[in-house]
Amino acid sequence: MKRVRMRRLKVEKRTNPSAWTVFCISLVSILLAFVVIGFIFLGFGINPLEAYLEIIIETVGNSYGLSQIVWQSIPLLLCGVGLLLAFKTSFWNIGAEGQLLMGATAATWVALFSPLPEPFLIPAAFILGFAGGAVWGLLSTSLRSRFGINEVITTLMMNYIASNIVLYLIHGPWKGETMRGFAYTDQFPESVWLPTIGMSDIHWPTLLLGLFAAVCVFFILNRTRLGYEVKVVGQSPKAARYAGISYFKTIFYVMVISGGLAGLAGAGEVLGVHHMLRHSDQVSLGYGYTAIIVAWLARGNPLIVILTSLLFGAIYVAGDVLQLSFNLPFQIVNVFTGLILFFLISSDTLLKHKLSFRKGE
Amino acid sequence: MEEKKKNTPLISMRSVIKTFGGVRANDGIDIDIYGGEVHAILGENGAGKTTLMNILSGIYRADSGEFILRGSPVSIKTPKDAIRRGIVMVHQHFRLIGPHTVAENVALGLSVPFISPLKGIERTIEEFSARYNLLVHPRARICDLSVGEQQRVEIVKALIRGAEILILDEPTSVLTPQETKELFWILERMKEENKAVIFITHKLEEVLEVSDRITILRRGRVTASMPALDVKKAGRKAKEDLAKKMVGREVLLSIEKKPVAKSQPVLEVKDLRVEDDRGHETVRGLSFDVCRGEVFGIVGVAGNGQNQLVEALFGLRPATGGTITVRGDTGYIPEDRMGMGSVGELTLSENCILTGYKNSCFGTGIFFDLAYIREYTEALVCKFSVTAPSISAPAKQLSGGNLQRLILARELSRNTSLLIAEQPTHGLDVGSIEYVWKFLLEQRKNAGILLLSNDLGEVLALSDRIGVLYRGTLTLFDQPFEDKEEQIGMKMTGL
Amino acid sequence: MEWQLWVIETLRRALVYGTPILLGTLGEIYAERSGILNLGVEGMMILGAFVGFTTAFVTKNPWLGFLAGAFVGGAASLLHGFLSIHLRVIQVVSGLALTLFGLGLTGVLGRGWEGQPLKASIAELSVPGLSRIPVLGPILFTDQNLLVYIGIGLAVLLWWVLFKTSWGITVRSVGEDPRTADALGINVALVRYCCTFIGGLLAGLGGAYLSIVYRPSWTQGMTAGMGWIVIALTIFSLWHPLVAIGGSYAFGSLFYLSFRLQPWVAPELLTIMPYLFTILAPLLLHASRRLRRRMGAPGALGLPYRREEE
Repeated sequence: MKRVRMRRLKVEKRTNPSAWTVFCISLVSILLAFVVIGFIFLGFGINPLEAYLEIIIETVGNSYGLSQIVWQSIPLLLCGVGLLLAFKTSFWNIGAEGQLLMGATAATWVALFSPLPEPFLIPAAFILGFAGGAVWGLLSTSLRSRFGINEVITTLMMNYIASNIVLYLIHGPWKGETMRGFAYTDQFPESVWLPTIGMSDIHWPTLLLGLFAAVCVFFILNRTRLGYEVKVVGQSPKAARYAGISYFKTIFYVMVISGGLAGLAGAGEVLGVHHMLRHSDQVSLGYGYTAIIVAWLARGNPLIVILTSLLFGAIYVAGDVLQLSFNLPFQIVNVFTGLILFFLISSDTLLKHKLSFRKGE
Repeated sequence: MEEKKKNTPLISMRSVIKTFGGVRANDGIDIDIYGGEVHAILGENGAGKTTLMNILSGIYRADSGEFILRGSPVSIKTPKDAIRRGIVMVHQHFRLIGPHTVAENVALGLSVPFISPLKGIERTIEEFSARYNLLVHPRARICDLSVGEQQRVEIVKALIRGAEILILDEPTSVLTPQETKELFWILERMKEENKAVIFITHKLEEVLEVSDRITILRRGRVTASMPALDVKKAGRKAKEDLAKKMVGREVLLSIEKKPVAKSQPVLEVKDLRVEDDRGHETVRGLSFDVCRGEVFGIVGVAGNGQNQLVEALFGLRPATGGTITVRGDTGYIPEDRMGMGSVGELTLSENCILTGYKNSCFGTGIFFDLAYIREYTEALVCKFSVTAPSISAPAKQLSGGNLQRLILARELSRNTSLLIAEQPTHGLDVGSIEYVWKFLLEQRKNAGILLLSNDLGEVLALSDRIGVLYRGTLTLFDQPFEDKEEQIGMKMTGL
Repeated sequence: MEWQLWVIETLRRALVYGTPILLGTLGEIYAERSGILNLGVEGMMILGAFVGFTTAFVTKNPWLGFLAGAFVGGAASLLHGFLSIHLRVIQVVSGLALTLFGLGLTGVLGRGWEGQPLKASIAELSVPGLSRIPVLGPILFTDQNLLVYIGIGLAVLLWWVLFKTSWGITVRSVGEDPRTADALGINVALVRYCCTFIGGLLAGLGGAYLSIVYRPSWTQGMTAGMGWIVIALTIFSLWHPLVAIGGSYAFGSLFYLSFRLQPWVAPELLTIMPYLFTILAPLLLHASRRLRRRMGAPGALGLPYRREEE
């Protein structure tokens, strides 16, 4: 009888994957997600290669597409940076969506109803937007600290509540008089519209805030005591207790920043894009959820969020392209994000282990 | 015929080799275990005893080696294999499910009827309890039982699984003397039924009391194997010989202790009472003080209130009664080095400021002075000779000894007036132990040191005064200790 | 006497509206009891709702719809199972990914099905004789559907399996302390796969109920956070199938009221009620802390298991 030589898969622990390995594996997992989506295209009778070619031409292939990518990445950048900070603390803030909506609501109030003189309106709208998001986030924090209620559930429920509050406002008390029965608020006065770059839709003040936030959080994490507390609390609550770091104080500050940044994103959307408050699904195209992956993909570095938010900005634009050119529903974006997340977390296991074949018996 | 049967080992292990990350934990071990015997395996921490037993019970898989059960070779790849062949291990940390009842724990993994599985088991437990004089109530919840009772549940669990070879890993380390006696009685009973007991320990005295055969392991190799009777007969000389084979050096570690002038107390504890998480009072009215210039050693078997005492002293747990007065700051070297004393994912320099990060020397306001922190870390790493790839490497890459040096470096450099050291040398190699001891003794010049340890040898070597902690109360001993060693040992076990 | 009719009608509808929550919660209880935290319930429910609806629509047989919905939920749960059990990923994130994926996929595939009424729903039935019992008759036995009774039956059955059988001991042990179970020869991965699969089946069935019985049509995102309520309810019910019955019907009555009170209160504010209750219910539970401690979360919930040696 012939003996078959077997090769056994050998799994070894890898302690410190290099940045290059991390980059490659992340890239491969994103590409895998695209391959799987290709099958969905096939299911709709669309040639995947054709679809991807069309996407590439319409997104990175021309200046309008590129500006659209940047424009879509703005809320993702702000929310992503905030979520990254929360995740570093091991606080599962899934509520960026709701925090964004409350930021938008607060900014709308400033734009439509506040008695402030004109030059102060935009700064005030941003400040209140930040506060709106922060307060919405802090509700979950206090429930966690006072009653030990899991933040995943509370932050999520707060998303649904925020969404319904927005709906209530636009159908009820804030319903615009000039809107002929549509569920919108009145349009904001033009003095509170954010300026855009040239002919594009990019409302640069919000973009600038986003970049500034990324740099700030980078500094917080690497240079400040708060950043240190975040890292210790996130890695080992026991060591944090030992070091005299208060868990609740830390998550309080973290959620002020995390929720506040999402609130800024919301303010930016209503001031720079919609110029009114409208249906919550239109104010946010699921930015708060997508930002989870934006933050996850950045692997703890807020500066990388700038890149990952651009990537997902591109996916949003690709969603538009698919809708216009191939008549696919925009929901395809969620399929993308879900799949990429699946492959990413699976690749984490690969990052921690080295696979190789060895001769077995 | 009878004689021949007696001479076939119940199980033989042949040239067992097991390597962990380049270290040979078991380096070609041969052992024969006979039925009707208690076979003690003696060795220091890290000698490879537990690894060998984990291999025998199917939890680890040996890199190479052979097992011969009643004359025929067998392979043991999973715990299930081992159990099927009658090999059951009682781990040092019991494998019991706290919220479940005794019967549920016993029934787990047995082929019990699908419907009302506990009825039969409860009866069986009672039968076995009666036969071996093990008092366990089948419907009691594990978390409500004492440690001794939990051990009995483990033994019942093993017996009901038809254990022919019972492995006990450090079974007496958590028991009171009375409970230990009961355990030995059970072992006698098992011997009568021609079962084999493998008894892992590092305590020489109790080995002689209970075992028939002794095998000594050192650094993964068998250094001696002999009938216990021979040792008993030969007396003190043989015992010393045994100890030498176990530790591989002439005398136990000794360290020169220069007396240091004692000054005012830095810690005063009066009638301290503390409860554990379940609301049991585990520290019951402790009073003691620690002065600058001395090591006050608290020794005791694990689980007598040490954890709650330390947590209360360090302010992590509220006291339910009494007062704690600390003059100055407290440094603390926790027992749990990786989970509490350091953060594995953070770099060495980040770990170096874990307890002092609020100190203004590391930066003003909310900002850190990274250059200074780097400098500071390099100085510490150098002074305490921590071997590490770089100061920006994550702490999880350090070996146990180096990690402890890093923690020691951090806590000693804070120059606190009180230093609490909890099991500072547990699980370290000899070189590191000596190192830690030296620095602790030196620190007496500036601070009062509270040492908590399970290891009487360590406490005797370092302390200026000793307190024995037993069930939350303290008995104090003053120098000289030479003639009180036995007395202290007795107190530890509650006698 | 009108208010009495109101109460009776509310309670009767609570059974109808609470059944999908009950089914999902029972499943999640099993997954979590074995140590797997599956936050993908929302995704599995929406997949079950979509596939259940389309199957029932095409075959005109609601029962095939339930079966297909359950099966799809189960299949989706195995994906989460594989990631959490074999790849040992962070279970919170894996569950979120499943939810995003499920919502997205059904949104893409389901566009053509929106707004089509389902004719093949299951009949409402009244139990002869029993429906005449005062108070209880109109609540329990009048115009109810079979799934309501199946839900209650499943709750009792699953309670019995979990607490009165040997497999129940195994499941609970794996969730409390997988290392111990493994040392006693239990196949931890297999048990966890089974329980995760049960969780997926029931979530899928709950979803199919939504699109076949509850609102016999397909709307994108029609689960509207019900999956998250399920996860919250799993905690409030202290991982106990019988307690879950009460909790589900409490939510069921809230859902009914948020629909029924619309003439008086803005519908958006009423929709908030169940979500708000989800956040606030733990506060009630918090009052009896002793109960919480005794019946805490399974010890190894959300923690991946690996043998020491690996």
